[in-house]
Amino acid sequence: MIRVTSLRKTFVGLHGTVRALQGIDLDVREGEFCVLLGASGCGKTTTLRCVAGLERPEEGEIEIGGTLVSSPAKRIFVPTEKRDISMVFQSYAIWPHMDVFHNVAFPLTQGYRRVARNQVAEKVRQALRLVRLDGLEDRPATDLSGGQQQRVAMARAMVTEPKILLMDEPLSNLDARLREQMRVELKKITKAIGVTTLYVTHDQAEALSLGDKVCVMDGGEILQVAPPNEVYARPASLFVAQFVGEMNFVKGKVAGPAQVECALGTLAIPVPAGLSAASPVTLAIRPEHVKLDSADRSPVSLTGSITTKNYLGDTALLEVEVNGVSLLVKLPGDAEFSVGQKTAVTLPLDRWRVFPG
Amino acid sequence: MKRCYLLLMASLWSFWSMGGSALAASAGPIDELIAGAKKEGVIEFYGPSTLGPDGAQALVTAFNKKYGLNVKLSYSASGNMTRDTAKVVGLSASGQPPEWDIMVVTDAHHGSLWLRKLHKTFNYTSIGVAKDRIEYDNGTVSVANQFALPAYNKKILPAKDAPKTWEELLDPKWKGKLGVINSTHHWGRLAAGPWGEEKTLDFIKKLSAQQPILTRAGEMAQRLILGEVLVSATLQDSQIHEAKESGAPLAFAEQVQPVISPEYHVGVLKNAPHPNVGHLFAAFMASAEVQPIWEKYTGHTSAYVPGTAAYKFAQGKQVVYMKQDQADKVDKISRQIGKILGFD
Amino acid sequence: MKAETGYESTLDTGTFVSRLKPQGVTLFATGLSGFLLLLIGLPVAMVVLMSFRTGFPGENVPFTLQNFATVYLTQRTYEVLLNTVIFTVSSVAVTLVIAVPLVWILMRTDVPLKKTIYVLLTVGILIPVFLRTIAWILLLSPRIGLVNKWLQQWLDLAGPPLNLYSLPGMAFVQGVSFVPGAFFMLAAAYRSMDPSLEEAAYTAGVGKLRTFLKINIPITLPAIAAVMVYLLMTGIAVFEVPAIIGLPARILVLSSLIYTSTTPSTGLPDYGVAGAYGAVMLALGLVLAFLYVRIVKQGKKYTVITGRGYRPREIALGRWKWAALAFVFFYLSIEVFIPFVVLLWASLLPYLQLPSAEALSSLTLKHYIDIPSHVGVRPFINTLILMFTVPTLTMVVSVLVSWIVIRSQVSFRGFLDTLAFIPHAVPGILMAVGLAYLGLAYRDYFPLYGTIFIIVIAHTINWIAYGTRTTNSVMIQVHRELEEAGRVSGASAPRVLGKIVLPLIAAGVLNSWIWIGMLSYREVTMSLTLLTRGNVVVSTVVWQFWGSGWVPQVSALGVILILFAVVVVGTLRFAFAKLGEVGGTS
Repeated sequence: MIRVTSLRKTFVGLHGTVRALQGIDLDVREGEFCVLLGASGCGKTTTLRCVAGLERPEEGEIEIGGTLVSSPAKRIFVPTEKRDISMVFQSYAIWPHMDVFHNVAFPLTQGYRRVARNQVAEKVRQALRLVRLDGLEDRPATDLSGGQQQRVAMARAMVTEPKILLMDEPLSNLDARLREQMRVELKKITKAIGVTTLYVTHDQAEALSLGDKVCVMDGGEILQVAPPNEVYARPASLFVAQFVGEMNFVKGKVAGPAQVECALGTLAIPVPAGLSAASPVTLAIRPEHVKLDSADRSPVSLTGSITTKNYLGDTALLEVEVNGVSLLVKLPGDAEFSVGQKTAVTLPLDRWRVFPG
Repeated sequence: MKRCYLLLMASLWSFWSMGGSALAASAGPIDELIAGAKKEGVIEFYGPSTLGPDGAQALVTAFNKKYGLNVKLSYSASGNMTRDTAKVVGLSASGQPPEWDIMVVTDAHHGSLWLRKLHKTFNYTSIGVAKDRIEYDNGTVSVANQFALPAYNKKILPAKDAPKTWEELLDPKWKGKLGVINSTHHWGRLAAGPWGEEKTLDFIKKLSAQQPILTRAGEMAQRLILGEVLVSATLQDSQIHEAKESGAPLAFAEQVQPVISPEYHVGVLKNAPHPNVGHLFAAFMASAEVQPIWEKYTGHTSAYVPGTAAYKFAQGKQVVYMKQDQADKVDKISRQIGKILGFD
Repeated sequence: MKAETGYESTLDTGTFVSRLKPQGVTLFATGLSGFLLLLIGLPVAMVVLMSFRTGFPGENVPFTLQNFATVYLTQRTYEVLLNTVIFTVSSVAVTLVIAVPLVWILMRTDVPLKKTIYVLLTVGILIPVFLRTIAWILLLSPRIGLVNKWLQQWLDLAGPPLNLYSLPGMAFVQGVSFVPGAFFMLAAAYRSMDPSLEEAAYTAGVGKLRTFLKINIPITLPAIAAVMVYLLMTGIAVFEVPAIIGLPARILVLSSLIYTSTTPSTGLPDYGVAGAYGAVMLALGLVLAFLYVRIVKQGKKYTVITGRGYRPREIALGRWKWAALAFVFFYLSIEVFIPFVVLLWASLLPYLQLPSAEALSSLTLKHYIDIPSHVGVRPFINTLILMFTVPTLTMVVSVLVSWIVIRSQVSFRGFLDTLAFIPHAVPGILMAVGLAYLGLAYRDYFPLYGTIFIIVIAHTINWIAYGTRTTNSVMIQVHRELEEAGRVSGASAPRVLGKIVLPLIAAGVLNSWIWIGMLSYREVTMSLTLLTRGNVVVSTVVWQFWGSGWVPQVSALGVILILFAVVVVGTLRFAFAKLGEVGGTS
């Protein structure tokens, strides 16, 4: 549905030029929920805005639903309003001079995808029901709460039954509880209507829970494209590993074809191809994969002592010092460890990831 | 009548000016004035802006030379004669002394002052000023004459097509092409003088039906020069004079009679701080030697002084001068005319 | 002093002292209100007083209703009133039709040459309205207008197609001259608009033009309405265009009646009648002011919803860029270029003529050389005094008022805010007549008549309304917490004002300062009403030259002043580009 190839974009600002996009390639299939994840300034919003036609890329092509909408080389640029898309903005962009009904009806009455006059009311009602705002049609936009504005923005984007939905950090202006609630709802709605979605966020939890596919971006490039579980379980690079979820990192070096030497000893872990002996590597393991057992006396396990404990209710985060290395450990909230306690630490070898550098 | 006056005066001219100097030599009111002036040493002078600081300086130099004085003149150019006159009225009403010792403004403005008794009078004849130059119960002395007549652009309108009488202005061929300036007192003077109220008002109503363009005099000159207005019902000689200097083709319709002549008068204000210099200066302004200076800077001369441009211009013409007893009537009719024409 | 220390109180809330100290703020605010009330109220009271009197300022006459009878029992007054309404409304309509698209193009799109356009817009403000009016006479007069002649030839018409001497003609000239002011007032609203409001429309499948009509205009409608009402108030009071175009064609408006009754061609000024005319003007002004305050309050609701982390973004116009540029330059040519060319032409001729071979051969620099001897130094000194003291006084008062209005909890801060806006409801000509009356009638207590300072006062009063509007909006943008953080750090209130608030609002205040300086420089109505020999300023010299028919001299002076302004404004703008738009409102 959306195909982006070698997209490049440069901004000229007061303090020199910024290369916002340095060759983005992206392919979103029909009905897919694709999340662009990255820190601010990584180019995710610029990519989205290029797809929307709100920015003009200098290079590369964008195809929407099989139609080429942007190609500087072929001198093609379809303006935003003629692209078959919808968009939800970070600030919601609810027009303050209209009530809820007119905000939602706007694309139907004024837009490129206009419908017959007599269908407008019904479609608006459907869209509002979808976001559970039915009955608020006459409410002036200025009298809406943040969450309601968000829903109106959603309804407005959905009302034309678009093939493609673009969302720019739509939940970032909501408070935490509402954000989680809306996240669930968002997923439900998009799945229900089967819209192809391109979603921008800096929140990895949002990315992992919403996306069928997550693109991790940095410095105007895409670092990894994969389903969320794969991004989490097998980050393609050290950066992705650092960015997505919590991880323990241990410096080491290659000791053999499947041998890595580090402060925790020599571990039998496969080494990525192309790394010769003695090259420096970083070992990584998720906190939830570190196992603690005060009763364990087996010789394979290491011994550590607990230095801090952070109780979070459902879980508890502990720091364990092993051979001078501090490891973060995630346990169920009811795990009975206390600070100062000595314990055996098990690090399952298949959970380790090894990155060059 | 007036012409007889002028003739009489012309014949007496040489005698009078000799007498003037003779009087200056002997002891009398003039000596008292000179003595007083010496003490005061300063004069606050309000006059037309056209005179300019240089003109004012030339005047006081001649004045000092004539009476052997060293008076310093401080010149205030007229910003707005009407409002400045009103200011004199206001100041006097609140018991303040006026800002100026003497004012050179039009006879109409002096009329407003005279009605409120705001001149410091002086027996000007006693120091040799001719009687016909004195107006407003010894309050003012006439300095120079303006003339007002219909004016046209001789480049656009051939002289033969220019109006020859006032009544010709009412010809339908001028409709929409006439101009009338806001000096409505021109018509007031005709009404108080030869035409009478009824005839004047009738004339004005017909003039108004010609849908003239209404502006201030200076602006009207520009519109004549540009050809926007073909004939201005009246214009002052100062505009013609300025146009000539710059080479602009403006001319009076000189065959039209009677000629309207507003005058510049000089008068000493009541409670003036320097009355002696004031009166002496006012008398001096009546003398013949002032005329070339005044003409050089303002373009005006007195029709009462033989040999001057104004004198020559007035020869053989019927000229309408305003007398003091007409001042009030001129004021009232002018306002009425202003309303008919649409000025306010 | 008392007031300032009192203001510290808010930092140590809860301590014993703080219970007493808020009264200090109240005291300060009371003092300020009293001062403003006196400053603004006195001239207005004079207008009312003189409308109940006949005779002259200083004359002791009994009160009477005669003036009102003279004015309001005449049918003509009502015709004039109707003219005033038509003229004002249509002028403002012309202004908005040009200004709104102009603002959108310059504030929201990537149209090229923006800086240059800003400078030219500012220069537009500096061309005195009546000089521009003269240019339009040369172009659009039915008898001599060049455009009329060309159109007549080209279309083979029997008569001139356009008539400047009509209410539409007046409205056109006046409306065009309002544009830069409206532009800078609207610019703030457009600049602070969340761009995603527009983008949301594009993604909803709506084109640029339709978005402009359906989103931009309605969202900024409160701002546009506010500007509209503001301009209506100005429009009632303007007098140059009615004097130069209206009067010759017998189209009178209220301001021309007030002017002619205080400066009649014959006899003495009739302050009483002017006051009676002024009463209706005042009433209209106050009604509009009330409306303005309401609209602005309404408009605030709209701004609440926007905001929060957006960066201003420009819309790429693509090939529409040239159309937009063409529109801007069409406007600039009627606002700046054509008047300037006409002025330049007129200034080089011995006397005013329409272009011809003969005229071309008589070009001369004489009028430029003669300027010093014609004008002298005094008007320039006076104008400089105006340009420095007026903005300084206005901004000092405005900053103090805004601080109370925006930051304090004083119960009557709304009253103070309204009070500071009242001067705009009082037409300048009326304010000036009131001040003149005050100066003449109560010379002992108010010995400023005839000095430049009476004009300084008139201008300051007049622009307090504008000054406080800008300082209010600038002050709102400084988040309260920035100030509170200063106080928590232990700085006293005056120190917080000096070290935190002032530096933060400096750019905005400087903008308004320069702006008010320029408005003061070109203002002619009040200066003219208060004119005496001692307080001649450049603008009144220019006006008097025109009145004396010295068009070439006036034009030469005008050309020099405009070039001077271009240099000054251009330098400031390019030099202080980082401070925002110098010369524009913030």
